[in-house]
Amino acid sequence: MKFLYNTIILLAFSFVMAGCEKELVDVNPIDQIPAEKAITTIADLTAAVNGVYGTWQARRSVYISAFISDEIRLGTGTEYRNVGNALFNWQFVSDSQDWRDGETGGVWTNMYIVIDRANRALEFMPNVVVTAPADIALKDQFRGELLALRAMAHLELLKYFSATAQYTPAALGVVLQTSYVKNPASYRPSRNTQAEVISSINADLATARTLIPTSFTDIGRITRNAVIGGQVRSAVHTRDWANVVARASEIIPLQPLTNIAGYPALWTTRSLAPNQSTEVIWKLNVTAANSGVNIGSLFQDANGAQQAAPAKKLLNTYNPATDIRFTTFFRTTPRDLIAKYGVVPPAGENFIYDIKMMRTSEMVLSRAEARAELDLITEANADLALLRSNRITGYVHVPITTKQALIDAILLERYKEFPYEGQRYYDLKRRNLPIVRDVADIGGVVTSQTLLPTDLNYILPIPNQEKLANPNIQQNPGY
Amino acid sequence: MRKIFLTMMVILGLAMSASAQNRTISGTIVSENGIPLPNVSVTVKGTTIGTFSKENGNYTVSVPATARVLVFSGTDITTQEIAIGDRTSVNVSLTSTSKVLDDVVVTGYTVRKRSEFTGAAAKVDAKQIEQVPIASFEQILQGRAPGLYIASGSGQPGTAARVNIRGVGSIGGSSTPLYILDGIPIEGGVFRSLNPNDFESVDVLKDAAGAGLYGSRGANGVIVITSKKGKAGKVLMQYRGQFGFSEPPTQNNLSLMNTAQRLEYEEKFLGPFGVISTSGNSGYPGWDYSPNNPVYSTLTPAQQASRALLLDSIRQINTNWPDLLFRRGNFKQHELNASGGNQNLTFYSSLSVFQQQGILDRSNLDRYTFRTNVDYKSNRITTSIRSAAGYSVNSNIESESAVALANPVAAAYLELPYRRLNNANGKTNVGAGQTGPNAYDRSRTTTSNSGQFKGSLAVTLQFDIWQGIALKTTNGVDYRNNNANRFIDPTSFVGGLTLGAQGLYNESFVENLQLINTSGIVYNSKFSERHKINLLAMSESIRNKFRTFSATGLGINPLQPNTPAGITPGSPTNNFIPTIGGSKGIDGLSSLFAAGDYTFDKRYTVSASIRRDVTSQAAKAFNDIILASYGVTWNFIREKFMENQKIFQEGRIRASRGESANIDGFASQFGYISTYGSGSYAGVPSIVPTSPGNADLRTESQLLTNIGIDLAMWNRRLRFTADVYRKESRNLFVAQGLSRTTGFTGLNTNAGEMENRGLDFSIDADVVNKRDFQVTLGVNGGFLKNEITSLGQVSEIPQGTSIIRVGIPFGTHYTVGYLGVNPQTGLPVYQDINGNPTTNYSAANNRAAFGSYLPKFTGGASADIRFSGFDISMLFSTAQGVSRFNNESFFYQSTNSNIQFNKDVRLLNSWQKPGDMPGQFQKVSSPRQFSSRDVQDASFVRFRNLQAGYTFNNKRTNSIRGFRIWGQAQNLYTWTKWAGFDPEESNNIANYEFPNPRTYTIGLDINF
Repeated sequence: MKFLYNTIILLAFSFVMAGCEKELVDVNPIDQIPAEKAITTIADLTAAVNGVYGTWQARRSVYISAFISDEIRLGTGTEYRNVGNALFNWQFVSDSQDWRDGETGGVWTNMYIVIDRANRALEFMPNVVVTAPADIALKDQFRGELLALRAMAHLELLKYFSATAQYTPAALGVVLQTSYVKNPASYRPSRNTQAEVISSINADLATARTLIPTSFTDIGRITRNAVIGGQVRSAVHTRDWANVVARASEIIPLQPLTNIAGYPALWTTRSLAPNQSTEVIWKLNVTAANSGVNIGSLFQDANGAQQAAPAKKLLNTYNPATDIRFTTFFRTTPRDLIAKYGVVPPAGENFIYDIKMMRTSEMVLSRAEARAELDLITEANADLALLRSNRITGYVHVPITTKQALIDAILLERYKEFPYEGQRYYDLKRRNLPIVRDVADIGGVVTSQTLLPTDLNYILPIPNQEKLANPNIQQNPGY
Repeated sequence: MRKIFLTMMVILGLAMSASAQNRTISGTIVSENGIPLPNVSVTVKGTTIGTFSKENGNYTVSVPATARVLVFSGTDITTQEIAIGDRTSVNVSLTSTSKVLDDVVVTGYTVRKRSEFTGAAAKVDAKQIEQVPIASFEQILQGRAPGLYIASGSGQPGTAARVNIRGVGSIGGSSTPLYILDGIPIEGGVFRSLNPNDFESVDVLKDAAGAGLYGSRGANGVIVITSKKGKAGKVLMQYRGQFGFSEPPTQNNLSLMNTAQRLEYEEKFLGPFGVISTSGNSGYPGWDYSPNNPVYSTLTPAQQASRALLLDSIRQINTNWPDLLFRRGNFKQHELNASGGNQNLTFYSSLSVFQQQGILDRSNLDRYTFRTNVDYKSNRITTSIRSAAGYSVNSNIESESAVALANPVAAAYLELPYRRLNNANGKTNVGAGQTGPNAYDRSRTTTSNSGQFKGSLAVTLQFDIWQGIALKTTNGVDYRNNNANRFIDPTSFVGGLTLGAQGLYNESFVENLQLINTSGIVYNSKFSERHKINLLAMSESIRNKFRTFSATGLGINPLQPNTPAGITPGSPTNNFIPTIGGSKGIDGLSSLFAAGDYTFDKRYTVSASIRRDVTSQAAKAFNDIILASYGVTWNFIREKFMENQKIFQEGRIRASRGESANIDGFASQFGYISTYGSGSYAGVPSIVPTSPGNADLRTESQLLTNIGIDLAMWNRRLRFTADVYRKESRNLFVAQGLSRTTGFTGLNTNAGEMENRGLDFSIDADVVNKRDFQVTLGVNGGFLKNEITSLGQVSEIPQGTSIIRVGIPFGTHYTVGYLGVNPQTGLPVYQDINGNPTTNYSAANNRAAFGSYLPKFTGGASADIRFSGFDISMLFSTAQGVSRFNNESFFYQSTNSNIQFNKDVRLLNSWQKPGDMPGQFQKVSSPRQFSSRDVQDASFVRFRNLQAGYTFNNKRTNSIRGFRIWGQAQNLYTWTKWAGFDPEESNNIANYEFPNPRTYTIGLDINF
C-alpha cells in the first residue's frame, strides 16, 4: 500500500517536471524586437527613418578632415591632450589609434550602417499598408528621405575611400549597397567602380527629389532643398560644372545666405529651429538625448584641456577686425581655441551643437567654382562677392580676373568658411592639391608639413577591419 | 515548483519515528594523537539513535538489541563504523579528515568518498578560508587548489577576481566556473555579500566525472561550496573579532622623478630637444627659467634674477602625490556564531560585520551577513535548510582601472612633483590640466556607492522510500539586488564639467534572480560488503531573470546635495534632461539527468552520467543537447599484490572522460534572433537594428579527459595527488568580423576550437607529527598549455595589443618587436615582420612572439606549524610564464607626447649625442611607440599570508571554553620583475588598476 503511495508521488513528480520544459524554454525577448515584427505600421516606419538619421555620426568626418588637413595645430603645453598624433602626422600606426578605421567606427563603418538601415526600412516598407492619403504621402516622403540618405552616405564613402584622389569613372570606388544583406556571415563583396556608385547616387537623388514635397521643411532631416544640395555635391565630385551651376542656382534663392548679423547665431544656438529660415539646408539635430555626439569635444574637453588648436595658417587668413567668422569660430584668449562648437572658458560647456551638414554658402562657393571653371569670370566674382559681403563688414570686392587666381581665391574662401565641417581634406583631394601646413603648426615635426597627392597616406586605406573580414575587398594602392 | 514543495511538505508530515532500547555501550573517543575528542556523534547505524561525546571524550549510549554497528562521525574527522558485537565498551581512535586522502568529494548532487570518486577534485577547507581579510571569498582560494587560477584585478574591497579552472575554456564567451552553494547555483563574481567564515569546505570539480554532472553548465568547472552545519550537542557559541589595517604596496622596479630630477629633465632634455618651446612661458619651469634657454640671453638682468628666484622656489616644492591620494585603510570584523542541536535537529547560525577601508581615499566596504542552517532528521525524512542574507555597501574610487586622470592611481603617478595641491588661497588647486589636485578634489566632491543585498535559500528534502531508494528535492533561490548611487557636487570643479554644469545625481539598480528545482530519485545501497551502488535520476528546472534600471538627473540644487530631491527637471533649453535607461532579461534551462556509480570490493569503481539539457538561449534547432561522461577508479592499494608492501598506505588511479557545455557563454540571451532596438533622433523615438542574429547559434562544448593518481606514504604522512588532463573545447564563440557593408561589425559564430592540456599536482607532508609539535608542508601547482586549434573561416583575430590566432595560446600579445636604441641616431630599432631590425615602426609588423597573459604555471605552497598552543601558517602563491602589456610604462617613458606627466627616473639617461650608449632610452622627442618593450614578465611569487596564533583551551570552567589570539599579514611581499604595483591582474593589460593592498590584522576568537 505504502509502496503504491510512493510510486504515485513519484509519477506526480515526473509529470509536474515534464510540464515545465516548454514554459521554461520557450521565452521571447523582452528588450529586443524581432526583426520581422519591427516595421509593420506607419509609426514603426517613422521610427525606422528616425533611426537612420540618428545613426549618422558626422563628427567622424569632421575629425578626420580637421586632423589630416591644415585646419589644426597640436599643442604641447600642459593644457593640451595628446591625441590624434598619428592622424595629424599621417602615420598609419595601427587600427585603433585613429578614426580612419578605428573599430569604434570610422566613416567607412558608420556610413555602411546608415546605408544598411536605410535599405532595411526601404525593403520592409511594402509591409506597411496605408490607405489614408496623408499616410500615403508620408510613406512617399519617407522613401525619398531614405533614398537620399543612402545616396549621401555613398557619396561620403566615395569622397573618403575612392582609389583615386579625383573622380575617375573606371577606377575603384566603394561597395555599392542597394539592398540589405540577408546573410551577413558569408557576404564578402568587392568594390564597384566610381561610375557605378555615382550613377546609383544620382538615380537615388533624382527619385528622392520627386518624392519629398516642398512643404516638408524640417532641416533636421532631408528636405527637397537638401536633395538638390546633394545633386550639387555629386556634380562637384564629378566635375560636372554645368550641372553644379544649374542645381546651385535652383537652391540659392530657396534658402538665401544668412547675413553678418545673423551668422554668429548659427553657431551659438545649440539646436536651430527646424525650419528653413537660415542658410542651413541640412543639419544633424544633436540634443542632450544623444549626447554621444557632442561635436565640440573633438577639439576641447570639458576640463578645458585641448585636443587641438586652430592652425596658425588658418587664423592668419582672416582679418580679425572685420570678418565675422573669425570672432565666431575662434578665441585667442587665454590661448588659441576653436570655438565653433562651444568653448571653455566659461566652464560648463557641453559642446553639444547641431552639426551643419549643408549650408547655402557651400552652394554659393560651389557655383562660383563651377562658373570659374566654365570661364564665367564675372559671374564667379559675383558669387564670391556675395558670400564675402555676407561675412565681412564693409566688404568691397576687387574683381579677380584670371581663372586660376579666382579658383584659388574660392578654395581659400572655402577654407575660411568651412573649417571643422569636414570639407577641407576633401576640397584639397578633389582638386589634387597637396596638404601644406605652416611651420608654426607642425610642432617641429618636419615630415608633417607637406603631404603630396602622390604620397602614400594621401589617400585613406580601406579599413583593416574590413580587409580582415572580407578578403574580396580591394585595398587602396600602397597599403 | 510550488506543487513539488507542497508534496514534500506532506511527506514530511507523514514521517514518524519509534524504537525500543535495551543495551548500554560506553567508551572514550580520542584523536590519532590521543587527545580526547568532544562532540563526536555516536549513532546506531541505520537509525537516529545516538549521543555525543563529552569534553573528556567519553560517551554513553543506549542501543536496541538489534544494533550491530556504531557510527562515529563529526567535524574534521573521518567517519568510522565499528561493529559492536556483544561488547559494552567501545573505545575508538579517529583520524582527522584534513590529513587523509580518504575524505569526501561534494559534487552538489552527490557526496562521494574520495576513494570511490572517479574524477579530479580539489578541496579547500574552512581552516584555510576563515578569517582572511578579503571580502570576496574566491580570492582566498588563490594558491590553495591545484589547477585553480585566481587573479585579482583590483584591491577595491569586495571586487571579484578572475577565476579559471584549468585555463580559459572559451574565446568569446565566459570562462567563469559554475558556483554551487549548498546545492543551488549562485551568481558567479558576486560574492562580496557572503561571509566566507560560514563555509565549511570548497570543492573544486575539475573534470568530467565531477563537473560533467552539471552538463551544459559544467564546461568551465564547478566550485561547490558547502556551508557549515550545526553540531549536535549543547549550544556552542563563538565570538571572533579581527582588527587591522591595509597599506598600499610599493611600486616594484619603478621609480619616478622627484622635483630636482624633473627640473633637470626639462632643462637637459625636453627643452634642448625641442619638445617644449623656447618662449620662456611654456609652463615647464625647468626650461622656462633655465639660463640655457635661448630666451634667457634676451632678458634684462632683473628679469634673469627674478627667474632664478622663481626656479628656486619651485625647487623647494616636492609634493608626494601618492601620499596625498593613497592612505592607510582600517579594517575590522566581528562575528558571532552558535551551533547546537540534538539527534534530530541541528542548527548553525552566524552574524557578522565586516568593515574594510581601501587604500585609496573613499574606497570602502561595509558588510553585514546573517546565516542560519537547520537540519532535521527523522526516520525517513531528512531536511536541510540553508539560508543566508547579506547586505554590503561599497564606496568606489573614480574611474577605477581606467587610463583616466580622474583615476587617483593614475593621477598619483602622473602628476608632477613640483605641482602643489593647494593654491595661494589654501583651496585645492583644481582646474584644467591640474591632474593631481583634480583627482584629489574629485574623491571628495563626488560619491560612488553601491549597496548590495544578496539572499540565498536552499531547501533539500529527502524521503527514504524503501531499501535505499529515496525521493530527493532541492529548491533554491539566489537573489541579488544592487542599488548604486552617484553624486557629483554641483559646486565642485568636476560638477562644472557635467552636462548643464551643475552636478548630477544617479540611482541605478540591478536585480538578478535565479530559481532552481532539482527533483528525482536516488538509490544508494550496499550488497554484502563487496558491492556498493549509487544511482540518481533527476529533473532540473532553472529560471534566470534580471532587471536593470538607471536614472541620472542633472542641475543639482547645491542646498540639496546627494539626494534626488535636488534634481532640476529637464527642459529642451536648460540642458538638464535626465537620462533614464534599463533592461530586462530572461532565460531558462530544463534538464533530465541520470548518474550512477558502482564500487566492487572497494577496489574498482565505475561511474557514468548522462544529461539532456534544453536551453532557451540557443537557436531552436540546437537547443536540445545530450551530454555524457564516465569514469573509473582502481584502488590498487587493496589488491593482493599490495598487501605485503609497507611503503604505501593509499594508492589509486583514476580516469574520466566526458562532454560538457558552456551555457553561460552566450553573450546574449537571444543571440539567435535578428533584432531591432530603440533609440532616438532629435528627441523623437527611433528603432534601429541591433543584431543580425545567428540562426545557427549553439552552446560551446568541451570534451574533458583526465587521468589521475593518489598516493599516501610514510604512514599517511606524505600525500601526493597528480592529474593530467586534456580539455578540447569546441563550438567556441568567435566574434566573426563581418564585412562592414552589412551594417554590422561582427557576429558570434560557433567557429572556434581550443585545447588545454596540463598537469595538476599537490604534495603534502607532515614533516613533524608529534602530539605537541606538528609541521605540515604543502605544495600544489598546475602546468597548463593552451592552444587555439581552429577559428573557422579565419586563422586569426587581432584584438588591440593581443591576438587570437590558430596554433598559439589564447591571450598572446601582438605588437611590434623592439630591439633597443641605435647609438648613432638615438632612435628606437624595431623588428620587421620577420624579426629583422628596422627603424620603421608599422602596425603591419605586429608579431605574436611575446608570450601570453595566461600563466604557464600557477601554484601555491603552505606551511603549518603547531607547537602546543602556538600555531604559525604561511601561504605563498605564484604564477609563472606570464606576461602582461604595461600600458603605464608608455606614459612614463614617452617623450614626444604626454610630457605634462611625470616620467621614469631612468629617462635622465636618455640618448643625447651620437655614440651614446644610454642603454634603453631613446632620443627625447622621438616618437615612443607601443612595442614589445611594453610587454613585461608578470611572473611573481607572493608571500600571500602569514598567520600566527595562540590557542588556549579551558577544561575547567563551563563559561569560556577557550580562546585564540592571533595576528596575520596578507599580501606581505611579492617577488617579481614587473615594473609597477602589482603583477597579478585579471586581464592582459595594466591600466592603473587599484593595487592589491598589504593588510595586517590581529584577532581574537572566544569560544563559549
